[in-house]
Amino acid sequence: MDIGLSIFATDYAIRIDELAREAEARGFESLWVPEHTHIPTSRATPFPAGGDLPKQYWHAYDPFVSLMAAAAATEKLKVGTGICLIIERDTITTAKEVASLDALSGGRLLFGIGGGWNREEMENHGTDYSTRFKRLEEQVMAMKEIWTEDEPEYHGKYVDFDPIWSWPKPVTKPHPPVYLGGYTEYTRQRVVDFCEGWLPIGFSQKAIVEGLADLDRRAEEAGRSRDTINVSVFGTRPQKEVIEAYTEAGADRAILGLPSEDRDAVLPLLDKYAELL
Amino acid sequence: MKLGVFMFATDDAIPLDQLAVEVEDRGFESLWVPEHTHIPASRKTPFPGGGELPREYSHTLDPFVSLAAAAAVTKTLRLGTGICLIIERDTLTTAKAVASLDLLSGGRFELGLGAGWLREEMENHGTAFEGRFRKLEEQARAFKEVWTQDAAEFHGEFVDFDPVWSWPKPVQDPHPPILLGGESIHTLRRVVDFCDGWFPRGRNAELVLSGLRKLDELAAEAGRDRSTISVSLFAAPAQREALDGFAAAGVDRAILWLPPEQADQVLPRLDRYARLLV
Repeated sequence: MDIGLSIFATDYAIRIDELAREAEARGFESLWVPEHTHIPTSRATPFPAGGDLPKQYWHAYDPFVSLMAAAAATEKLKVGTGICLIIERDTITTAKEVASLDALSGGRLLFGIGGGWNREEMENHGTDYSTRFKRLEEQVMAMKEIWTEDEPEYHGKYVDFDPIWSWPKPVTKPHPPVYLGGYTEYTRQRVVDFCEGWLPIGFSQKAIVEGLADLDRRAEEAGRSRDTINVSVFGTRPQKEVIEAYTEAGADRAILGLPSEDRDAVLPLLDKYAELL
Repeated sequence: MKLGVFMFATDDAIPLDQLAVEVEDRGFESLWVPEHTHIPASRKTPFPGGGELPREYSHTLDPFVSLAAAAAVTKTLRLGTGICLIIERDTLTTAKAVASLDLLSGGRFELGLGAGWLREEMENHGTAFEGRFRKLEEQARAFKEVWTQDAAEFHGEFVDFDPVWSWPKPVQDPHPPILLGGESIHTLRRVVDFCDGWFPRGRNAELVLSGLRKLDELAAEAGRDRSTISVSLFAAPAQREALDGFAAAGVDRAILWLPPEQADQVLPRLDRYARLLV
């Protein structure tokens, strides 16, 4: 079981490059950052976790810039988006950012993506809430073309371009793994259909364990080897028994959440989490 | 006059972080990278430089990721886009990438931008060739709102959003300098209207020198203090006399071209350029 960490990289938290060094020194496998390009102040869409939206949601750095800083400060640590809201991003530009970060990090990028929940946020990028997953699928398929073909083209409803040239290609072959966030059966079907991993949030241990069994079934039905699908549980509770239960159920990676706070608050927690390694 | 260098950061050139260390060690002031998000394979629009489009145009790394790598290994070197095709980019996302890079580099970022020339490239991002300069102006003005206001909003023809929260804010006060590429009279007017610097190409000295005089006039007409506008000469000639002439005419920074090649090709040239620093 790989053990990784996640944090909202913000302007008031420990610097992401410092955290990356400290994480690598303690033997953690990966470091993940989420993305929100901005937060509309109307706050019309309620926060799915309940209550007021925490401040870190509108202080989050650009994930590609911050993960490059993390990668530059480390040698082995994998760096991941958890998750990148690709539906708010241009497909061709994002494909190039992924390939660039993968190249400059020596192939250490894990590309977690999701469909998002904040309707007004995606609308500010011209994305329609009701069709976001259809768009997401087209974007993933198009990015895979860009990463692997010399003259990629894609013709879909949301993404449409004639043959283009776009290098660098990723160092990771055929491309960095695409992990899809979410916890519904639809998410798991999409994982089986067009992703390399499932990135659920560990709100409920029971739901994760049942989801893993459901994923096994769906992979089998699709004739896809389950070994080709990574399962990384985001927001895993930092407890030995929880991690063991996920390992038992077939997960590959537990990602422990860190608060978006300064080094004095984060580093002692890192020491505590390191006892789980 | 400040002296910087630029290179297409590509997958077969010296890695940009390695180059950044060498550039800072030799005492250059800045390092710049251009952007092309991709190149449409049709190649309908002719290359303005004439002939075939050089290979590096389709092998360019993302500028924000590559400059973040350069920032991580340097301390004083200023880092810039020369230029960033913002018209092919989402405004809110780009504003955040700029602010993030400025913060993580300790306030060393300069945003050179331009409207581009490759019609099919921008069309693949949903941008119409004809409206590209109006879009660019709205984007630049919207960036400034996002960078400086707690609840930023913008309502234009191309960029339109109700109040948003977006941190981090840039370290530089009020924000990283916005430098506009191009040489036309329209470019100069836009520089005076909404930018912090002019970023002309150095291939035609007379055009640059007449542009400098025009810039003085336009600034005076607009009641803008000319000293608030920097002038950075992109692809400047690597010759002392020519550089002295530009400096005397009011150019603040000359940026010298490096080929997108391996270290054994790039570093000797960097050494030659470094003699101009003395």
